[in-house]
Amino acid sequence: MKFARRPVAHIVRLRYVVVVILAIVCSNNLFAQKQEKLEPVVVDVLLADDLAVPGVAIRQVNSKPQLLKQMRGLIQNELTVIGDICGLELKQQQALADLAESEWKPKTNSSISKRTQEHVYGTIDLDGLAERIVRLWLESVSMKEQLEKYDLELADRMKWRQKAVISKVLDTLQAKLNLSGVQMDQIEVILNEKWKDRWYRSLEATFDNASLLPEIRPSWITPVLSESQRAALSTRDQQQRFGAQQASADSPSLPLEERFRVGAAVSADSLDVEPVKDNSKPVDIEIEKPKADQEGASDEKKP
Amino acid sequence: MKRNRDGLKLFVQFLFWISLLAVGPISNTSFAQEIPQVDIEDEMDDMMGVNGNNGFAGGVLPRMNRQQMEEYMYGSLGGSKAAFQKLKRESIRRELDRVHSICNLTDEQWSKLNEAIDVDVQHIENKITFILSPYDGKMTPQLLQEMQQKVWQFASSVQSDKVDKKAVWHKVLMSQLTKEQKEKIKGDESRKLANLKRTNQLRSLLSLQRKLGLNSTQRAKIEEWAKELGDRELDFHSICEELQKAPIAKEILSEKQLSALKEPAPPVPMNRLLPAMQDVILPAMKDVIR
Repeated sequence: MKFARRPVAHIVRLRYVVVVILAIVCSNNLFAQKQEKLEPVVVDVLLADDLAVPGVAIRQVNSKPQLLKQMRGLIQNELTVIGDICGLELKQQQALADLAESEWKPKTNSSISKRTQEHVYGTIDLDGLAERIVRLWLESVSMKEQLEKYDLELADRMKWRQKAVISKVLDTLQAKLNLSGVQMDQIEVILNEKWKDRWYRSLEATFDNASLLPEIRPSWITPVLSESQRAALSTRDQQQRFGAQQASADSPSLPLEERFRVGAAVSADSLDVEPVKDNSKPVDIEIEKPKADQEGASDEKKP
Repeated sequence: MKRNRDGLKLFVQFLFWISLLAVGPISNTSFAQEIPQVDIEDEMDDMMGVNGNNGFAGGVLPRMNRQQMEEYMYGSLGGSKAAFQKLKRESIRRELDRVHSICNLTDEQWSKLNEAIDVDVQHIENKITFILSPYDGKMTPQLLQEMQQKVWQFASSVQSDKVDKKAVWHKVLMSQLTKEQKEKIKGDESRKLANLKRTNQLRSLLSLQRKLGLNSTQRAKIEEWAKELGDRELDFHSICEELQKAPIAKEILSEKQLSALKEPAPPVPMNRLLPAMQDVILPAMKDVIR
């Protein structure tokens, strides 16, 4: 009777009821559904962004804590070398250790943050950064002669780097121009004459990325090249871009809570060493069994 | 009655809003899962013909005529037919210039080699013609795909930096060279390889410097020790192992440096991860599959 009197109002109310019924059905469906899907193996892999394994979820781990430890390791290595060669007095050693402890983080933080980005791989030289900041600290606590000893050490270190860069450039030119041994020798002499310390950008830039090698002016080497080699020299190489987020495997590491040492001195206890939460795990596997199995197992235990 | 009706109306409205709240999670339930998801990787594989379908050959190649197919092929070999000829001649010429600078080729040898270069370039062009010969513009996608594979294989073999020892010019060169000339070339080749090894060794030494924080005295002694290793090509990890065994290590390195030398490197992609893959990840995956 009511329907006959006011049909539209009834249909409107019925619409609400239909929606409610639908919602209940869906919810029941949701809760009744058993999740029988296998959970993927979750693998925390440090540095493994180029890995793809079916069925394995690779979770990229933040590499900054590791980079911080490695930066501290590099600084500690420099401080040890200074302790060995510069002949600092105990007071100077203490001052240097304290300076390092209090200033290492603000001096390196920005470079480390940049280094965690893949596209800057090779362009951030953490070894060079450690050398520069340690030299600054040494300058403020030492005598001129002591500083000169460290400068000599750095200059000597550059000799290996020079050899490495020139050797790598020769390999690259050889692959591009088919140089003979005599030509390689001639070009090696030229490059040694023209050498500038800034040609060494970093270890990674030297060996992992040919586009970051120093630019060789054609006029330096064309006198020793043949016509066909000159033609090949003018062709452009493909840009290489390797990306790596993390610090290298050959870096030293000093835990964040371990204090800097110079000779016999250890940085003062009054200076905070703030441990950074390290979430990185080299390889950690969590295997979650299918829920259906777990339920079955729990049923079995029941009396 | 009216009050009851209002109450009912309110109750129905309440149920309506509750139902709306319940509908929200439905998007995560089986309804949503049944909607076919587009997997970009699968799409790419389909396009490239990885899954055994017609792939790229089923799309672009059938629309090409014979001339376009030839241009497509020369495009991968240098840009155009003329560019390919120029680049190929120049690359052979560079190799011969190197040989000439080492052992002074005679005019007679040069004239024969120049003829061989022409033969070689012509030979490659003939091979391209041969590969394209079955093309009549009405090929099945499968045949087109096979042809495309041949094109890629051939192009990559022609583009390779390595000297093609099957090439006519190389055979002619080897037949023309005297014994002395051959020895000179062999010596030059070893000079090239020695530089490659030296570069790798310098990398390892620089890594060692980074890891241990060596001073100049230690560096000089380690450099001498590294020279004794001779032609052995050692990466950073092998050089660390060698140095641990060497008596020089205990003489020149401090206790801390020795322990740093022994400590394992953190995992890095590929070289350190592959053992982890074998030992940990794959067995774990097998457990899951079981």
